[in-house]
Amino acid sequence: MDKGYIENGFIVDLTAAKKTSEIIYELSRILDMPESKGKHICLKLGSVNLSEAELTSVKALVELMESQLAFISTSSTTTLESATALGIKISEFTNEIEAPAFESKEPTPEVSNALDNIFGEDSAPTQENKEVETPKEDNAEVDNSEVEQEEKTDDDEISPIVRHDETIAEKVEAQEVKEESDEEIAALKNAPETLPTLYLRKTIRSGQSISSDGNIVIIGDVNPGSEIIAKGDITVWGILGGIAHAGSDGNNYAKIRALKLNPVQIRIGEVFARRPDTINLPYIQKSCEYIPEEAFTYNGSIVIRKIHEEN
Amino acid sequence: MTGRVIVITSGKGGVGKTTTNANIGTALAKAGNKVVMIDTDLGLRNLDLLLGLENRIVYTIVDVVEKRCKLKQALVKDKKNPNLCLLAAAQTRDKTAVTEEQLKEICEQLQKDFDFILVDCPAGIEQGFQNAVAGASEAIVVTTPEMSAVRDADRIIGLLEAKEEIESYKLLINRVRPNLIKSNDMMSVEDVAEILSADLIGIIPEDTGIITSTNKGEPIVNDEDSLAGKAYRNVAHRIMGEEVPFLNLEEETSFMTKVKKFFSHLVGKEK
Repeated sequence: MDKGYIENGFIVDLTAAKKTSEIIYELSRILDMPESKGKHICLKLGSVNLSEAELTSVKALVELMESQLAFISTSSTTTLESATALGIKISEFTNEIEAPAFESKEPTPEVSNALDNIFGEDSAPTQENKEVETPKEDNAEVDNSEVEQEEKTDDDEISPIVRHDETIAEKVEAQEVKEESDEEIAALKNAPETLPTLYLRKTIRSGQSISSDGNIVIIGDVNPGSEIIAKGDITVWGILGGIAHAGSDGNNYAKIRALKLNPVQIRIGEVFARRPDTINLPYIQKSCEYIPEEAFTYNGSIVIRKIHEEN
Repeated sequence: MTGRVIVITSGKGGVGKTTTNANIGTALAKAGNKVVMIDTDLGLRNLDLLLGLENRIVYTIVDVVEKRCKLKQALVKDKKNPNLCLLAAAQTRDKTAVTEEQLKEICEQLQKDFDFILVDCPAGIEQGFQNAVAGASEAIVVTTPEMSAVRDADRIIGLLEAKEEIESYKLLINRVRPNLIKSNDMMSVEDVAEILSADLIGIIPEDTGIITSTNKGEPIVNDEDSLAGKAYRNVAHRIMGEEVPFLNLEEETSFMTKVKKFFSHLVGKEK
C-alpha cells in the first residue's frame, strides 16, 4: 500500500484493498509506525463497500493508534452512505496534496486523466488507477519483528491486531493466575504500583549496586559490572548493561524496562536469563536511536519486546 | 600559594599511570610551574625510574611519615628542572605503612610551596588507592581503549564520584592506535568517552618511543619530535586552563604524511 505525506498529516492509500480485513490490516500496520502517531489521517478507501459498523471500526482503529481520521475518499456508495451517517467528512483530495508524490515521475496526459478519475467523487476505480498509484513511495520497510507479530494476529478483526501486545500480556496473567491462586494474592500484595519508588538521576557504574524494597527508576545509564535489585519494577532511562533483578522477593510479574536492554543477566522473580553468547557487545553505542524495550516473564521464561505504544 | 592536588589513577595496571604522571609533571614544570610528584605505590615504586632519579633517593615518604626526616629533605630534585621534585615511595614497605590522614597532611604541607602536586596512584581499589585519593581534589583517570581498562575506569570513576573531596575528574585515553580504530579493531576515543560519560583531557597515541624513554629515565615530553610527547605537553597546558585542540592522530602517524610534511617544510609551504 502507499502513503504520501501532507503537512498536517498524511494520506493512507488503501485503494488496492479488496476486503475490509485487508484495509484493517494495512491501516494498523501503517499506523503502528512511530511517525504516524498524532497525525491527521486521510483515508483513500477505493471501491470497498464498508457498512456503518465497519467504518466505525476503522475510525476507532485510527483513534486507538493515537491519530485522527480527518476525512475519507471512497468510490463506493455504501461507504459514502455510512460515512455520511457517521458524520465523517468525505473529501476529494486536491492535486496540491498529491503533487509531490508525482513530481519525480513523468506526468503524462494519461496520468493527469487518471488523477482526475481518482479524485472525481463519483468515478469508479478502474484498472488504470492502480497503475498510477503503484509507482509511489514504497512503504514496505517496517520493523521486521513488528510485521511478524502483526501477521500472526492478522486473522480478521480489529481489536486483536491493534492491541496484540496487551492481549498477550493479559493472557500471561490469566494463565498463571489460574494455575496458582496463592501466587495471585502474593502478586497483588506486591504489585509494583503499590510499592515505593527509588528515583536516581545518575550513571550507575561498574561495581556499584543499587537495591530497593520497591521500584527503581534510573535516569542515566547502567554500565556493565553494576547490579540493580528491586522488589518491584526496574526502569532505566538509558542503556541497561549490568545485572538487573526485578521482583527480587519472587514476584514473577515484575518488569524491567530500558531505552536499550543489553544486560549481562536479567532476573525477574525466580526466572533467570543471560545474554546469548552470540551477542558479544559489552558496550553499546549511545549515538544510535533506540526503541524502548521491556522484559517480562512468559511461560517461565523471560521475553523482551519493544514498546511501540503506551501501555 | 595553594597548589592543586591532582591524583592520577586508573584501576587497571599497565595503562600508563606512572608514565602519564612523569610526563605531565615534567611538562608542567617546563611550563614554569613548581611541581612535586608523590609516588604512593609503596613496595612497587616506578616513578623514580621513569624520571631517572633512582640513585638520588635518600629518604622516602615512609621516612617522612615516621618522622625520620623533614618533608623538604625527602624531596628529590629533578636532574634538569629545578622546578620539579619527587617524593618517592618506599620499596621495602607495603601500602599499610602510610595512612590516609598522613598523606592528606603531606599534601596540605606541599600545597604551600608548589603549584601542582601530582599523586601517582597504585593499581587497584584497596588501601593504596584510598591513600592516594585522600589528599587530592582533582583526578585524572587514565584508560586505554580496551574493554577491561574501560570497565576498571568505570569502577574508579564510580568511587571518585562517591568521594566528597574530589571536585572534578577528567579522562585521559592512552595508547590509542588510530590505525586499529580505523579498521574497527579498537574502540574509538569518542566511544570510550561516551561510555564513561566523562570529559576528556587528553588522547595519547601509542608510541614505541615511550619504551626507550622509560629505559633511559627520560620522559618523552623532552623529545620535541615525539607525537606522544606533544600530546602530553598539550595535556599539561589543558590542566593549566588553556584551550588546546586535540591532535589529529590519524594524519600524523602515517609515515608518508610525515615525509610529505617534511618536504613541504623544505619548500616553505606551512600546512
